[in-house]
Amino acid sequence: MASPQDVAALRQQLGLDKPIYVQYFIYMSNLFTFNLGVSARTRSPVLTEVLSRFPYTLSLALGGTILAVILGIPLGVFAASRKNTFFDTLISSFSIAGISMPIYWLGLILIMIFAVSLHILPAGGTGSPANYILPTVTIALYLMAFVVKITKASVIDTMEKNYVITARSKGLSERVVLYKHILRNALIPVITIVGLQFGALLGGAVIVENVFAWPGLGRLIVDSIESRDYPMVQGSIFIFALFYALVNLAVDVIYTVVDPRVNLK
Amino acid sequence: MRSLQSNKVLLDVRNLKVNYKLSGSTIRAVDGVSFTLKKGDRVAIVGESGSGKSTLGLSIIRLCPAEITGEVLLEGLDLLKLEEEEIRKMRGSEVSIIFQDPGSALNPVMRVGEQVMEVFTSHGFSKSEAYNRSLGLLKIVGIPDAGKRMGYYPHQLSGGMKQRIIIAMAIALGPRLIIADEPTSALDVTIQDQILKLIRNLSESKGLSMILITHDMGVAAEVCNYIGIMYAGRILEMGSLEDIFNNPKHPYTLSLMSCIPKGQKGVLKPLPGNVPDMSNLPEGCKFRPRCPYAQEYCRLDEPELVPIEGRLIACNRVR
Amino acid sequence: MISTIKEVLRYKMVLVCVLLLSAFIAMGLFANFIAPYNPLATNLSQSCQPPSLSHPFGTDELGRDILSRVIYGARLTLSIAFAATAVGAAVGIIGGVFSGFYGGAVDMVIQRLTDVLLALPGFLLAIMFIAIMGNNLTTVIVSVALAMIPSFIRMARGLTLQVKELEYVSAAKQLGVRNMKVMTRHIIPNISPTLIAQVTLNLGTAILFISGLGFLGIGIPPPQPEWGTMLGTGSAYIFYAPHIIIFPGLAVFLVVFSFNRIGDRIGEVIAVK
Repeated sequence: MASPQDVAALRQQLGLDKPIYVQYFIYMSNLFTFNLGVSARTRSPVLTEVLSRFPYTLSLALGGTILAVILGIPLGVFAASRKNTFFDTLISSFSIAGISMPIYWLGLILIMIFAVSLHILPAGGTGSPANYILPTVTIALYLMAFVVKITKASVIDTMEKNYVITARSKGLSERVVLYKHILRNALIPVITIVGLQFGALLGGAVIVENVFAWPGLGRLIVDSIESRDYPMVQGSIFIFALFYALVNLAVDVIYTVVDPRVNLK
Repeated sequence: MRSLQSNKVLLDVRNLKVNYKLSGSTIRAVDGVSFTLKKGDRVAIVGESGSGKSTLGLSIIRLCPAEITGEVLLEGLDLLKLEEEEIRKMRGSEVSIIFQDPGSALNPVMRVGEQVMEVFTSHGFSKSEAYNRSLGLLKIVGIPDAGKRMGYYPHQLSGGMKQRIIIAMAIALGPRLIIADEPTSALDVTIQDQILKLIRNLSESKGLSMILITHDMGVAAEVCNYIGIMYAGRILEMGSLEDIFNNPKHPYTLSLMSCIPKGQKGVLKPLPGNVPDMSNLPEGCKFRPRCPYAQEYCRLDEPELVPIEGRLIACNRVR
Repeated sequence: MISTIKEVLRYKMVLVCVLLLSAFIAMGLFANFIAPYNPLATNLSQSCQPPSLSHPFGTDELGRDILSRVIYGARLTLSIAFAATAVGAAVGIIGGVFSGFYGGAVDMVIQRLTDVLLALPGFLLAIMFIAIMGNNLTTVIVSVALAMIPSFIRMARGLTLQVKELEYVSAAKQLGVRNMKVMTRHIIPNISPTLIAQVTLNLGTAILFISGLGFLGIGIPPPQPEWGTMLGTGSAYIFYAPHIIIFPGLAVFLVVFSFNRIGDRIGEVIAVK
């Protein structure tokens, strides 16, 4: 049981005896200089811990997005071209199911299939490339559901546009019509959606990291909340928010490059 | 100026039918159309919206996602019987289309120069050849500062400019037949005149034959020397411009004529009623419900398109 | 109204989803009568039993009957989702309508507040709120509501701006009808159909958020039978007793899927009108 003097000394050490607005000001200016304080638990700087974990989260986000796009776009185009047939219904059903799927359940099911039953992939942790597969696939499947849905809708919409008929009337081959006229336009909304869903992707990454014991920021946040390590929680959230803002900015820039009708304001 | 070719038939359309199959019902957008077009002629197909005239134009080069039957003979070659790859080769090079709404007819993310060059590169030309020819085309259709404009995107051009680009794409490979689908409907009145003159001059100077699709009799009179009146998927009257304008015989043609403002004191008499629902057409003559002269035999017999006094006409009363 | 409902239910799948949802709601309402066991009753000698006749869904790591917990979980998860969505929608819609209707300074202030909320993606915002306030029933509801508010504000504001331009609305204003009346009599009824579709979809999102928090251990705390919490505590036993995680997760999936399908269909029907 700490004595009143110890508590007072600790309070002074942590700067908690100053007025609340001064504390807030100090906190904000620290943020600007990236001084995120020290962990309440380990006493080591929050920034180093957060920065060491960040690459793990980044690799999941990046890998998941790339996989989702590489697999999702062709599936969406295929579903659009086979509209109202069996394949279309099949692919669309998977898409709707994917959007409704709780990510933790998806991850756990994958663990059940590949780790528990088939024993071919590890259930979590790090160390080998094999550890990277299931978490990334889980995130990819979740984003893929959105990618397939928007790609299909966008391609169907674009296919009926007048400039596609113009392109055909010029005697262009179906391949040229597909790539240069249909896809070049249809994929623009897909970029938008991937950008918009990035927030959900980050939320999903937090969950996936906890399902697979993947040592990223998401795991750190939850662990820190449980151990009441508030500086660590604050620091992690701050880095997350920064990352989120940067990606949104990047998507805006990419959008202006891809669509000549849009200007950077 | 008449073309120097003899009265040789370029296009012979025989009993062309275009059927759209929607859930349950069949829509007979084009219901047995036959006509011929000689080299150098410019034929206007005039009708209200919903008459099937646009479908007719698109179906000639098989750009309709529908069932097309009949015969479309381009100097003897039946376009409807060609393989997919063969008809593709003919598009742009032998038959091309000028579209109605230039705003939506151009790919918004592709530079206009590239879109014109595509016509060439997809028919065997090299990139540099395509560039030079495209530049030349832009000048021919009257686009100022052509070199700079080649790099523009469609949204950077005015409506009239965009339509000129589309015209350039259509005449690029020197096709035998151009189908112009309401080429000026989406344009400002002041620009319409310029574009129409451009189309007529190009057609005359290059000996291009044309099918001009329009709802506007005035436009038809400006550009064409033959005129066909279309209603509910069928041609009701067809003949030379002078014949039809000076002496319209079909009741529908008569009512269309009375819609033209005559000078300052023009009296616009709008046609009563609406175009029929294409999935639920009336019996007998399709115009009968709106015809002021309709008789009982008009309901019993569908009138055939037959030659009478130098023109084609489909009306039981006239016979 | 009836015709709209008929139109929404035209597809078999949508009808199935409505029936499914009704079943879950009934489960929640009549849990006391349906559940075979006390959901909180532990029995360590019976822990981790696979599905059997006496325990159709098996038992969890503390010997509790999973079927009963899933049934009571319906009550818990659904009522929290409804509460959170109700709060989020109410605040968001009112904020959005005010923002769009009044414009000017009101609009700017509300937009800035929305931007603050949008600094983090929804789920992370909820996590942050929980981190500060701890996790209990109230904080979970508030945090999920907060996560939803920005999308409602955006949507309501956009719709209000559209409707504001309609002639009879500006006519009403010019005739001197008081602002509140214009808003309630003219704007709200016009934007309601689209908002109903959005609310339905958000119910699904709310459930995903609530159970997500539960799974991470920062949602509704154990021993409450919240589906996500059940999955969180049960996931450690995945190698030994996989059945523990199957059924609660399936419940979440079916309910969210139903809300999504119905919400999508409502949106389609509204768009045509």
